[in-house]
Amino acid sequence: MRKVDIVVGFFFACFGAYWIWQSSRFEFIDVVPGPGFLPMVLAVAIFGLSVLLVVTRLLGDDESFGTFKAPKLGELGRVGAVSGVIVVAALLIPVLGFLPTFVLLVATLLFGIERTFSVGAFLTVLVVPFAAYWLFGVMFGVRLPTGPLGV
Amino acid sequence: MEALQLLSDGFATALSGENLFWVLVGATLGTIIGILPGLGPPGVIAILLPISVTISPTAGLIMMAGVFYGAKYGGSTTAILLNIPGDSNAVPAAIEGYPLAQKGRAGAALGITTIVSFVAGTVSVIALTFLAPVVARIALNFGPPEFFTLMLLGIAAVVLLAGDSMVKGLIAGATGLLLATIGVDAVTGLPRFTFGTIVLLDGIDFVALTIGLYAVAEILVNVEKKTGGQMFKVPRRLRELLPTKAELRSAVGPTIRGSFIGFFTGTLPGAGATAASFLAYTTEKRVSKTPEKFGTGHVPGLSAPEAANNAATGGALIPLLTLGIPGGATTAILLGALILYGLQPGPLLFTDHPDVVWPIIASMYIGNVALVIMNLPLIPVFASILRLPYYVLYPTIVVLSLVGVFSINGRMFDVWIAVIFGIIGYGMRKVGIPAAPLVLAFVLGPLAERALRQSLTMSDGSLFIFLRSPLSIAFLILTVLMIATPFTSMLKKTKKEVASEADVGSIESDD
Repeated sequence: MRKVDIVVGFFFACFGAYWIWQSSRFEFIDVVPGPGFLPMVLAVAIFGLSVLLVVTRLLGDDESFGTFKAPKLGELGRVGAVSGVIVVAALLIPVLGFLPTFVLLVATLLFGIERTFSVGAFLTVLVVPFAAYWLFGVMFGVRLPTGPLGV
Repeated sequence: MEALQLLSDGFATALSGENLFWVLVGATLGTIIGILPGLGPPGVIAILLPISVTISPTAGLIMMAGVFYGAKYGGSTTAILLNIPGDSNAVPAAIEGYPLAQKGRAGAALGITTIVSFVAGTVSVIALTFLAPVVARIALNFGPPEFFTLMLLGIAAVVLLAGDSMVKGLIAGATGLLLATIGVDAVTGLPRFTFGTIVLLDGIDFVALTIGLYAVAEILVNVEKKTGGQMFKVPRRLRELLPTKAELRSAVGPTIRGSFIGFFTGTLPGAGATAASFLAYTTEKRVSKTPEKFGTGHVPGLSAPEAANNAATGGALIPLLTLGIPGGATTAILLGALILYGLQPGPLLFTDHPDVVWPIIASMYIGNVALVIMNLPLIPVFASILRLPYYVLYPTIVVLSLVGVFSINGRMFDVWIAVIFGIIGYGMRKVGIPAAPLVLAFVLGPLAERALRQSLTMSDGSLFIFLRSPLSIAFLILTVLMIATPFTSMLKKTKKEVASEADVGSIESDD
């Protein structure tokens, strides 16, 4: 966890530094705090805390900070695949429309990633997107994105 | 005594066939809306407005009030079962209720929230009945300095949610505050950190952020392993599905405290049920003798915010009915409904239209009873959802989460926020950065900033404005105590360790 914390600290230090630069473009204070006041204070705080995190980890020993359970390659692969499917679905919603996209999403998750071809899986692909469409689109009148098929 | 007489007249009206029907319709719709992520009472009440003008004003307002408090019952259901907060005020329920579900106590968690919701809802309606004018006067005395110091107290509670690493918790809290500054500055109207885009003018939506950090991130954590059977053990016997006597007893104190915190916070325009539930949660952790159990499925940690969440409903109606000031989005639409019916909210509403106001209040008593009768038998049904194999559950959660966040504002940007923060949330879990401080700070930050700048504008930049009122001073003292608590505990722990090492050293040297 020590090495992970050092990397996390560096990341947030960069994040804080970037936000300090962004916040400097707004008025800080003129009698009363301006729009740049709180962002600048927070960005400096994040930068300072990140440096503190890095320094304490560099000076400490491995046992003091817990253990980091790194995900195995296969586990990361599954997470990456599921994340990728969700991202692609978000890209496809405005193109294909809500219903076709979510049918594809559920089908890909179950047949492509989980490799499950049970009756339950088929029912999930058929029922879940349509039930969500009916509930939100029909019953509550939410204007869901439509595609070339009109749904 | 006059209030009792008016209330009994209100009951007589509310118990008529037509009004009873609309109480049940509103409460049922509210529960369904509360369960579904994204959709909240404001949107649905707005959709119901055209329908409500076709019925009598009393019936229409009773139905809309039913949706308002019904949603509180439903919001915690998906938070507990699936770690999807149905609305922002259900986040503490996800923090405590979901670990309870993971331990096989989903039914007990749902039972506790139903009973606590009933008790808190009833307490708040009783307080609304008898204390409305008094509380309205106190709420009027709450100016920007008092508001800022109260929000500061809430934000200081980040230290209690930081978990194992205080530094990482503080980084998360500061990041939440920073993310909340994205959008149009409320005081000057200047766009901040919008990078020239229109979508960021409204900032990041809170519900999209929480669904990403909780629901989507949870799915990514769980899919690391192949998802074969059911995720959690769910007892089959009814007795094991319900809360035990010990669990119910442990919920009594938190429910009472949460009810008062929620009711009072609900009366403050702008504070809302979300701030109420977080304040109650962190207060309960602060006063608890076992704070280390919070976050692991601790019944008091679940009861207090649920009580606050429901009690805030009655509190929110006080500024609306007595002063014509809506406290949030839902009460703003209710205000619109009142005006649509030709009713002018304000101090004279109670005297000019008692035939409308008192049936609404009476219907809230009836609605609370109806909701507990409807929800308690449904506990085994809801808990049985967890028996489904996870490969069926998680695609359902993904679909509901994404369509739910889309339904907030009807834009894809919110869907992207949920997806991106889902991936970020997964990363945060892996490296030990807690999400709760980020979420708490994100909610309270804008309220605190606006109140700070208003206060300093009033005082021409002098900080002494925060020391002028007893309420502000009290909140500041509580804030200092809140921040000092974890550090004094750490100091005591370090002293004990040093003392025991010294004892061991002296024993060894004696040998």
